[in-house]
Amino acid sequence: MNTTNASSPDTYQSPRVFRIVLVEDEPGDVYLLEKALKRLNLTYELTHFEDGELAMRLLAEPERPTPDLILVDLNLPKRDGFEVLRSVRSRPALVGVPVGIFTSSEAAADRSRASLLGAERYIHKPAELEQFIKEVGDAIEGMLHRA
Amino acid sequence: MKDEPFQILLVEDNDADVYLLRKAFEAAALNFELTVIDDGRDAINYVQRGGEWEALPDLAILDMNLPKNDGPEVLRALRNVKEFSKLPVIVFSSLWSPSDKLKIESFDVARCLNKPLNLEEFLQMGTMVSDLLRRMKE
Repeated sequence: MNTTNASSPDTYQSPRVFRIVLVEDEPGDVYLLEKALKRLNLTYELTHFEDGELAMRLLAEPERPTPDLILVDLNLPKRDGFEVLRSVRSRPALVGVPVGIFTSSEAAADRSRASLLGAERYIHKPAELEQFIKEVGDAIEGMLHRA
Repeated sequence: MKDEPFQILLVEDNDADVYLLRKAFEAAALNFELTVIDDGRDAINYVQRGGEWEALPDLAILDMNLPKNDGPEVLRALRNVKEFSKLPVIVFSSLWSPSDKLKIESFDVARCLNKPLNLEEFLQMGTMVSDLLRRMKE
């Protein structure tokens, strides 16, 4: 697990620190997601879990502060993203926390399953760098502002 | 998928929410029978009335804010009765208090949700309930 703090240089006055949890095993996607976050006008604390089992265990810790957003890849070691999503949606402490599925899968069945399990957004990882940063950033911003 | 209707126990005191959930299950083409109990004390009496149930539910949906006894008390009573100890339960509330979250933290629930706010969200919940019940029987 890694936790990093960051703020955009022109938004240091923002009183709100968004707690974002990312469950993702691909270092490249973590890097791109951080780039997308840094482009947004917000201050955040990013907690990163590299496998589903670790995410499920640590998100269940009672003393853990409630995140503002959870982003989950579908294809994860140990426990897949659906299991993480199901676990999040059964925890009273996490009720109402938006979950975004963050995946390269375009399968309609995956999209439907994620929705049925209570994911707010299904974010397909775009292949192009600029598109990734814009689309993923827009999706994150939308979820944070709805929360 | 089983042929007989799914038995759903709904503990909810708001008539409008009961109506909208029923419509949402119908819209999801769910074959169901709904038992509605509109206060917490009656719900506790129902689950403790051993041997008198017409049919055991396949799923319970429980509002947290109820008259007489609240949702966490009903959930505790459910889990203390053998026939209901493993029953899948969806808990929902339009206003979650930290205290309610804490009270139910130790109980196993299938879903913990904010109550739907509009028709679209009720329809989504209907689809989710339908999917949950069908997968349980697979």
